[in-house]
Amino acid sequence: MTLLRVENLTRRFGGVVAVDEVSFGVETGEIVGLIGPNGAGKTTVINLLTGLLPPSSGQIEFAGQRLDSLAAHQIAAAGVARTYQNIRLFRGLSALDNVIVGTHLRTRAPFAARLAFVPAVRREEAAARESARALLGRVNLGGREAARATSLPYGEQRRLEIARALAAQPKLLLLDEPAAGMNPAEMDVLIQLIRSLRDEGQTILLIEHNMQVVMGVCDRIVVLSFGRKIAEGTPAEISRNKDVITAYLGEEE
Amino acid sequence: MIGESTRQLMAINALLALSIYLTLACGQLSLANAAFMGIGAYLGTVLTLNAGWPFWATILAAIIVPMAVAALVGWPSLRLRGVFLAIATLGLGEVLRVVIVNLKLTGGAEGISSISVKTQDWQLALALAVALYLTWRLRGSRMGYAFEAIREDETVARTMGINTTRYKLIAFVLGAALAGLAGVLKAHLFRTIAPGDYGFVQAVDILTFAVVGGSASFLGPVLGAFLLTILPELLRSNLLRGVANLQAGWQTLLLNGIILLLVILFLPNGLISLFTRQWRRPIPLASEQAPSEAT
Repeated sequence: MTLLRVENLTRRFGGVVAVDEVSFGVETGEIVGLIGPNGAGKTTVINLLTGLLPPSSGQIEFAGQRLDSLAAHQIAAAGVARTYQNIRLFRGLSALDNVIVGTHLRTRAPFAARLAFVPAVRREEAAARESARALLGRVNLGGREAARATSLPYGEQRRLEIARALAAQPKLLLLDEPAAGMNPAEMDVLIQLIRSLRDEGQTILLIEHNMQVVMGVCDRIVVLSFGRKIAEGTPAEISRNKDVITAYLGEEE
Repeated sequence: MIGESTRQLMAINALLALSIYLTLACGQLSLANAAFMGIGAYLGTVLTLNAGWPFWATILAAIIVPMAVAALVGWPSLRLRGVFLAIATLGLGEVLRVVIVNLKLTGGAEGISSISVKTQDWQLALALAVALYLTWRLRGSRMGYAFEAIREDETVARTMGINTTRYKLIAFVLGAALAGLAGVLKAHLFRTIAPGDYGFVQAVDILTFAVVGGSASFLGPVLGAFLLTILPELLRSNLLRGVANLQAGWQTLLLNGIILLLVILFLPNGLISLFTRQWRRPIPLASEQAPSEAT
């Protein structure tokens, strides 16, 4: 089943066409890689998908719903969660509280009910806290609950951000360069994590520079260069594709 | 040592401090609280004095009308961020002042005096208790987490499904309710009101409560309000008597200014940071140290 269908997506910034008529799809349960050289428009695609930028033209269809005219919080409610290229945790909050914020979409209790000490509110809060705790364990951050988010080592901050995104139980998880700046040991942990998420059926759109990560986890890869899609296929196909090699390494003299 | 009127003023100022805490809790620097206080005060006075409303109904109106004004004004202005919101909300205070000065009903620039004293101490205590309860229950609630997320990073909050406009508006409207309540109670305690009471100076005073006390916890602004209300009184009654025949006005401003300066310099998170727990730093695991440069 096609979960995400992007069609002729275009975004201009003044005269610059950052994303140019890009089309691709993501099937449920798939891990799709979105790769391309620096400035190819990968992060712009993610910002368009999550509603942080309105598209100039084109359509985004997600689980039978049009996303391209929705506000960011409505897109999140439809089931899209993301992480950020330059980690954006809630700096003043603890690791656990960061993940609890992520449960916002799964909780309902109105503030008035909390004022009245309605027992259901307490149950819901306890459940949110428990699932946040479990998620921290899930990304190997058990025991870090009380730590201030920004005091965590770099690789852990990346994983905390993933846990926060997972807390909404998204249908589609967008990871924006999760391996950026990681050392090899941290990268191994990340690859293990992404694989285990796939085994649980999580659909992921992965933006990544690092070929080890991309080739190691993706079912399918979409390649962007200068805002255009230049190739799409399995990792094996992509690694042989002449256009892709040219885009990354440049033309032979 | 602390006179009755000082105690009453402490409660009023604590209410005002909590009203600005609500907007600060979700990262909005709004200076409209003085204006909402003015709306509560003037509306309340006109209702009891001219319309003969019972006090309880007056209080209710002085809570609801500022809320309605806040909802109306907040919708467009909460799109502004940081200092721009501060300027826009200060503008609201100016508009209000001009309206009050030019209306017959509000006594013009002279204001209204000889308001009958109606506010009882138990009413002050109850109002403060309700406000404290509200802000105490906010922490750890779904809405409280949403506020914190917006304060920390509004963009990220949006992509996590938090309707940021809605929550900012709720904070603004609840803050207006507390400010309006403080306004009507104060007017019926100290018997006179004037347009100048709800302008820039009052707006900054309210902000000072929160800055001095610290806005990390709801107790911070209350602490700030108490301290900044008591200190000038103490100084005037004991320490400075005999040194000079000091008037309340300028010495309070001077003292508040000095305290504000000291707190900003030495306790940037306010007095409350002396009491709140420090963050526990995790011990980094050997395998996870030293992040390499981000690409």
